[in-house]
Amino acid sequence: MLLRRLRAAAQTLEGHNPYVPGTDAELHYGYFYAQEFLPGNEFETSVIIVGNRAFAVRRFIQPGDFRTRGSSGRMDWSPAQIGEDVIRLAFRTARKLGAQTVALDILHRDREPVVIELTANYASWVVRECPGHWVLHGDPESGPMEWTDGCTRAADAIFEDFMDELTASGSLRHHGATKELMQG
Amino acid sequence: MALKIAIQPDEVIHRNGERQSFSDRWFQLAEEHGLAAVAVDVFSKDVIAQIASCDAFMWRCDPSALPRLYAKRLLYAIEEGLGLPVFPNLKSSWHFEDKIGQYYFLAAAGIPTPATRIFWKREQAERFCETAEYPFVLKLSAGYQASNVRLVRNREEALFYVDQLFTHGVTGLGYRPASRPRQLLRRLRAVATVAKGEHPDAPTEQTELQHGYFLAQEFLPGNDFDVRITIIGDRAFVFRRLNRPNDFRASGSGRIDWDPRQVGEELIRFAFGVAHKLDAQTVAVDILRRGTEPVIVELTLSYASWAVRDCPGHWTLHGDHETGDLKWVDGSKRPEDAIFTDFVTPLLEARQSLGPLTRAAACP
Repeated sequence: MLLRRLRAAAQTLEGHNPYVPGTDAELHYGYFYAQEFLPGNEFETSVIIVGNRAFAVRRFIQPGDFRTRGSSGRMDWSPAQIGEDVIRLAFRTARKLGAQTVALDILHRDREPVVIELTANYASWVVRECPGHWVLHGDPESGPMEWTDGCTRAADAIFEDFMDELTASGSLRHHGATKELMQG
Repeated sequence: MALKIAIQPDEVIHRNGERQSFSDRWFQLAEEHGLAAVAVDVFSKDVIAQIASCDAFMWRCDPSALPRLYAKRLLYAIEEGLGLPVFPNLKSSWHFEDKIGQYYFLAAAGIPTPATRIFWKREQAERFCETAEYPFVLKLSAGYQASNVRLVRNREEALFYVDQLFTHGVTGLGYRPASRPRQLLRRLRAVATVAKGEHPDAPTEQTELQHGYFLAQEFLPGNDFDVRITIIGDRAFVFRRLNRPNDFRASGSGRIDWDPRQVGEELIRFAFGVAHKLDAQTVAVDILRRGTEPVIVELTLSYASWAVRDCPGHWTLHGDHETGDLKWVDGSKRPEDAIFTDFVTPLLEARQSLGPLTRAAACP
């Protein structure tokens, strides 16, 4: 510890602050965030929602650790292993957010799925590797979910939804203009 | 059952010695109107449950770094997660102490501001300093009162701040370029701090570490005062803040002129236009002149109550901000009262209109 301090002091003497956060980091202070440890979770389920589509993957924890290694550890994409309750929880959360897209990390607290974290900048390849995805029709609690086979890229799904949004608002504007013309 | 409003207590002692507490007044008003007001503690572990047992939530938060960063998150969680009306809501609070966000919003909305450059890369900021017109105004994104605004007079000074902002960051603009012995002394002091195992530029509860950007704004000469217009709903409270002696900054000077005749209708409509574009419950705007054109310099959420209260009256707008009637209402009004009235009135109306429906549902 003393060595570390001396090294830091030397850096300061040269005019560098050893505590400087880099451009990819920020200084954390002024809070303490503690969360219960949930034993018995050998994997976490990442569900990526894009519009009414859900993509899912299981990430296994590292041997001797309680954490996964993000997208660099062992992963499994088989849809049969993913509970419907997990997918519905993800859809419910995304709807509550009103988000265009969001990825959720889900663990189990005994048998109940719980959301650990929301992510906006998920890795695209994880979605593309999914053998298919679920499509939700109606509300997240009871609406029918349909499995669609085949790979879809996140960028494609996002772009498709976004164009639909623009077309919808564009056609509304167009519709308004037409109505005015007809009334005129 | 009476409407139940969760209120987080707040208290500020201003430099003029006056104690300010929006919550004290809101509790008093709630009692006068026969409403239930519940004091909540945002720092307790069951804060969500405390608020969830109420119909609405109010928190007049201090602009200090730590409570503000928390308040923004909690208010959003209550407004969108719990679905309760809150004061301040997201449209009123997103720009809280965020001059960078304010600038981009005003520019995107086509609202005139002083010419502003924001740099996210050191090289671009350095290039700007080579060719910039001096003096210009350097601002930190967060930081209330005048402490985080500097008039930069020459290239050497500008590059000093570029270096600070793109290396270790700053918690304020207090340091100026200094002579070599002084710089050395500063560095030795930092070494001593680091040797103790502490961060030499550690942020505090009031300040935050700011780095990785450079916000430069043109200096507008000839402005001996700024016009502060505080909008609450359809009311505008108006006063002028005269600059500090031998300073270009008016913010925090405490030298205020409340004479309403000194502020033209054009500025009042301008301020209403900004508040409407934001769709904010309340906002205070600071206006300067760029030649003859009024420009918005800053938006403030956590304005001091006393300066608004001491206005001899206020304007009310009827209709849209460009053509609607402006009427003068004589007499002092506390901003706490105006905010409370605006917040509670629609809740009470919704409850009254729901009343018969609920009864009908109960007795089919």
